Amino acid sequence: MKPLFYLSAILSYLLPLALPLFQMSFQFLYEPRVNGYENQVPWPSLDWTSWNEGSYQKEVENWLHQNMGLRGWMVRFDNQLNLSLFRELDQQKNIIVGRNQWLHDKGYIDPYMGKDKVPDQQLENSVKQMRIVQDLLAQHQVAFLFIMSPNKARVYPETLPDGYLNPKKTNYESLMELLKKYGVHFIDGNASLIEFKRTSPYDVFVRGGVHWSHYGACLFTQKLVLEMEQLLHQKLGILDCSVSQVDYQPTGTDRDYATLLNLLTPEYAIGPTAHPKATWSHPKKVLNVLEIGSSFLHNINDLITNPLTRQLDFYYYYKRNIPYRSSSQSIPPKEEFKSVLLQKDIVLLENNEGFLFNVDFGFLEDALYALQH
Amino acid sequence: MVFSSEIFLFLFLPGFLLVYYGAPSRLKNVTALMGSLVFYVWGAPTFIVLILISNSVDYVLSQKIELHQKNVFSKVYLTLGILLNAGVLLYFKYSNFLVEEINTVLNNLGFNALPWTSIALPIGISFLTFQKISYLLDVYRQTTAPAKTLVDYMLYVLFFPQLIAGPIVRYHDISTQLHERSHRLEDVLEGAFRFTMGLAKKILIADSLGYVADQIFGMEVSSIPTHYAWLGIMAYTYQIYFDFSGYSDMAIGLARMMGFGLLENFNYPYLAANISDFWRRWHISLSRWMKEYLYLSLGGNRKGSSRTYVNLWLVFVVSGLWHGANWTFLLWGIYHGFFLVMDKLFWLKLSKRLPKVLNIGITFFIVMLGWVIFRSENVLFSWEYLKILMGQSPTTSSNLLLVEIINNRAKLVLSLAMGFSWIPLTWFGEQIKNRLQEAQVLLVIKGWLAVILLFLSTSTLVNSSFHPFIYFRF
Repeated sequence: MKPLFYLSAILSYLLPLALPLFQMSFQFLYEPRVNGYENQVPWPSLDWTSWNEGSYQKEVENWLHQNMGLRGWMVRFDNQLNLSLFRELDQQKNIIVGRNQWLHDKGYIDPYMGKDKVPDQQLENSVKQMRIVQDLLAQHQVAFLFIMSPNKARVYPETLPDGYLNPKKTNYESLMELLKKYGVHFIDGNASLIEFKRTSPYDVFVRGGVHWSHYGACLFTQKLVLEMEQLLHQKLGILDCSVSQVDYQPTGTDRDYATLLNLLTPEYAIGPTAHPKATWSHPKKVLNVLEIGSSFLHNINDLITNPLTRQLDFYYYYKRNIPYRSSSQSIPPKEEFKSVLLQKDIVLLENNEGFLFNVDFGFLEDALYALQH
Repeated sequence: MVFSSEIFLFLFLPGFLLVYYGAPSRLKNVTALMGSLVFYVWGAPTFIVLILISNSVDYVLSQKIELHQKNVFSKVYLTLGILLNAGVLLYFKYSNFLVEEINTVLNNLGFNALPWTSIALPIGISFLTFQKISYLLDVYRQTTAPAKTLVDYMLYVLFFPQLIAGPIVRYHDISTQLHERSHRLEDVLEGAFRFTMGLAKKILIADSLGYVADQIFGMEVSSIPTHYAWLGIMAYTYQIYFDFSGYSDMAIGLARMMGFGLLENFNYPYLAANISDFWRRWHISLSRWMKEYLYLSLGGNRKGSSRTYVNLWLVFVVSGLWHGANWTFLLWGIYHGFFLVMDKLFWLKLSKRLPKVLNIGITFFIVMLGWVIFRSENVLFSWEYLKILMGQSPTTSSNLLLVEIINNRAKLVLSLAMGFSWIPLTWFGEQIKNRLQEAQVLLVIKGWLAVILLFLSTSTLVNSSFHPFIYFRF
């Protein structure tokens, strides 16, 4: 009996060690996939140099890390344990769990707290360039508008966990002062959403989303359209943001961070979500728009592309073109940039607090070069 | 590969154990050696040839030493063996450091730096070298007969459980077991449990505290407030203990799963009553090596008090340097050597009059301050850090919030780490120990604990390196 007991005990221990490999090879158990993007690691090719340098081994280990069986369960279990016992996630993850299950991104909390302050001179240089580009574009009847996307930590500071403070001057505050000083056309998402939060019965950010809610984005787009109408001296249409439904079923960006939690119980950080009608009256499909910016523009583009634009190029972080309504898949070379710019009705440069160390993603230098030559 | 990695836990270990348990007894040593070679080659493919040649030379030299026991050649072969092994260690471990220091001096004097390409450090070289030297010395001293076969010797040197981080094994501790060991199911189970405990110590405790310590020690020293400095060194004090002892547990556990019994390497070091006692409890295999092969070779305590103190101090200088090629390790060794000499001079007598708890507290404090030197990047940082600990910080606040440095889980882990380190001192600890002597209870508890800890550790390990983005990154 005793040997049998020991043998069973040993197998109970050793078999779980072999399970991930079996699962990876045969996928005999149901396993939820992990949510979120990772740079996919291909299986490396073996050669003498990569073996000797150790790079082959590292790549194999990275590949195994991404493809090991039962990973979905292990990640979810650990996240669930941390959340249930400690109300937080692994200390190296960027997701911060705030009060009332409000999720925040450390990348937005840090600038809100005044960390990583960019020298004012650097910001000032960027703003000066913006003004020059604005003026050069204006000479060709192309409007320019800078969009400061809102920061969830700034709009909803009461949802931050204990211990997070905002005592210092931040890049955002410096930038707003400079934009006013140099007369750059801009629209302040933080101020706008703080105002909407005050006047609206619904949340303009939601618990489980890192971006503005669909409702918040709709309200902001109303304001954006008004601003564009002023700059372009024409009516563009009226966007109806009245709420058709409030439920606990956020979709898309309204639950992007909640999805990234990768939990065993998926309903964490899901709160009341207002779904706006987002319908247009008298839209004028006339605009040729160039956008340079971040993922915050997706919510705006979902609202304006079909009703208002005949062409919309979105240079995502000025790295690649997401052609919302465009024939082009890439950012044009320098020699063609001027003609692309001058064909536009309006250029929208957007950024958020998490990225103000690079206010324009490198766009302004290329635009200046193109417009001055 | 390291023990706390997915490739080791889910691929190498189950695969190796399957092959090892399936191999007939006469082939188990070869199987263990093959596994060890795969383990080493995976981590350091460029050095395996050097290691194999070096081991073969040792093996031949040991045969020669035994053959020439009655004449001077045995000493010649011994000296040759020690020089070759020490030379390899000195070259790979210290030449980068030496050249850097020489170049710093040359640059300061306005001369050109010496041309030099950094050399990579073979994994486990410090442990390997000490084992190899101890083997040759033991053969010379006739403490042990030389290895019967080259396979035996290779296995002794390259045995993967203790290859990377010890314990440092003397050949005579293992020589009988190479040919006469049993593979009892109880040993496999105990080994598995011990391995799991070590894995949990490393992943659940050490890595968690390491994050805290790294945050604080990574700050500009002038921006560290005093309370952060204390948090940092507390975290590091327990990180290094649980990391190192965890690794030893894993090594001892893995060895036991293969029927080998390795000696213990840690014995509640933070309960030491004085520094001498600390070194009987911390990295025991290193202390033993230093005593048997260096201290005694220098004359030990046989040449008068002054020489004894010098020998003690020298041993710790070497011990410090063995840990790494940096002035901080040398300083750390000097620091401990100093307190050891103080022990011998007066402290051991004086401390007998003090309460045990006070002695333990004082020793812990001394050791903890020593870790500041050990952990620091350079001597200046350690000096500034020590000043900050004493209240001389230029700042009382920091850009890095406390909540960002230590989260709720890490706070619990730090508390548990302190508790586990100190609990044997208490009545409660004694009671637990007594209860756990009841065999049946122990088995059941151990079994469940092993399964739970294994799952917790592997989940934490897999999740700790998973950092998804919302969107695809270009």
